[in-house]
Amino acid sequence: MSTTTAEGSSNQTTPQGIDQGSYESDPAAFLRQRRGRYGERLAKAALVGSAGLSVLITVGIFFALLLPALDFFREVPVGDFLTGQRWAPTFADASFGVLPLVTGTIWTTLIGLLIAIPFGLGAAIYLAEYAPERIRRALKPVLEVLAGIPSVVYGYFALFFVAPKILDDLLSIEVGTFSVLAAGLVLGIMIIPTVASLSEDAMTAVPQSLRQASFALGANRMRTTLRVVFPAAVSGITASIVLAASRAVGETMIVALAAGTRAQMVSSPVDPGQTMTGFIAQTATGESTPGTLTYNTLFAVGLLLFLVTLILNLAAGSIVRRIREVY
Amino acid sequence: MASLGSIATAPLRAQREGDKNAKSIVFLGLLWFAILFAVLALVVLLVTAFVDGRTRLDANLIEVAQPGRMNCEHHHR
Repeated sequence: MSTTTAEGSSNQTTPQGIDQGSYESDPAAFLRQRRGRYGERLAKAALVGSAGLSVLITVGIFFALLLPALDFFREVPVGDFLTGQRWAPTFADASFGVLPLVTGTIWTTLIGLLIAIPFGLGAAIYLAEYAPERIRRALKPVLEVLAGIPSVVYGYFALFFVAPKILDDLLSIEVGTFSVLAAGLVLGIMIIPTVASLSEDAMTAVPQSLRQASFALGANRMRTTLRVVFPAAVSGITASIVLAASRAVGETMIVALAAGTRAQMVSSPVDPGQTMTGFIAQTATGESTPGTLTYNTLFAVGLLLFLVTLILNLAAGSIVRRIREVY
Repeated sequence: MASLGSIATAPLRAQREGDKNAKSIVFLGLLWFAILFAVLALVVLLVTAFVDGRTRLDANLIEVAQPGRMNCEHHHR
């Protein structure tokens, strides 16, 4: 085996060209300085390209929404759009107050979260802290099936089963064919796996040593779960809830089918109402002529939806960064 | 005087006894309810979809020679 010694230096170079002295003194700097192999550089370029493409697509979507929305706002003042209480963009006496769509979206999202957070977190705590491994392996995929069911199936489930049979017949809540309550309930069922699965992952990632320390101090399993594991996993749990909220805000088929198409200020959960996504689904049928005010309305509502989701995600990121605990 | 063994296993015994108190049992019951609700929702959804759609579960469902609407008209006649 040939080993060369550099003059005036104790560094040795192996046949593979690795400078042993530099490597031993500062391995990280040495590896950074080394030129990557051709395959490595290619993989890195592919990864950077993929990441860049995702960003480009997002920017593209934003501008595709923004430009027609700006045309819309040249004709309709932003203040009227955001604070108006009558939404009738296709009527002869057109009106563009988006609040009815916003209240519909808020109602369905809140009802959905009211279902998804307690049931999702309950399922997550059971799976992470109580369930034997065999039951956990069986139950988790079953829960995840709920996330894989097409939302149009959920929409019909809300319309033909939850509203007439569960709410009307079983619980004697007088809802009509369409209501934000039925849509919200089924929306909540759909996002349970999002909360459950991500929260369970966050709780499972909490180091075992924290649980052992709690047990060693005499705490029972419930106390350990609520006082040690839950606070330690709270950043992941928050992220799961915000992701679920974003899904609820952006969900289309369930609300389009079960909440109705009457854009009105929703003051009670048994009322029908239209959401922002519901309006887009109803209006974007290919019959709207590009460049018209009705057509541009779609983009104004789409832009608002985009901004609401963006704000939710930014707020979640900020909360998670503030309360994150690193082990 | 307590033996070393009893001192060492005291936290474990406390945990086991703590798991049997009323609060812990109610808590576990709530967790079970949460997961059963999700599973029950899935089962009801699947059963409802099957019951509502079972009359259409025949060879015509995958028939590609004719448009589906013509089959519907044929059924109504």
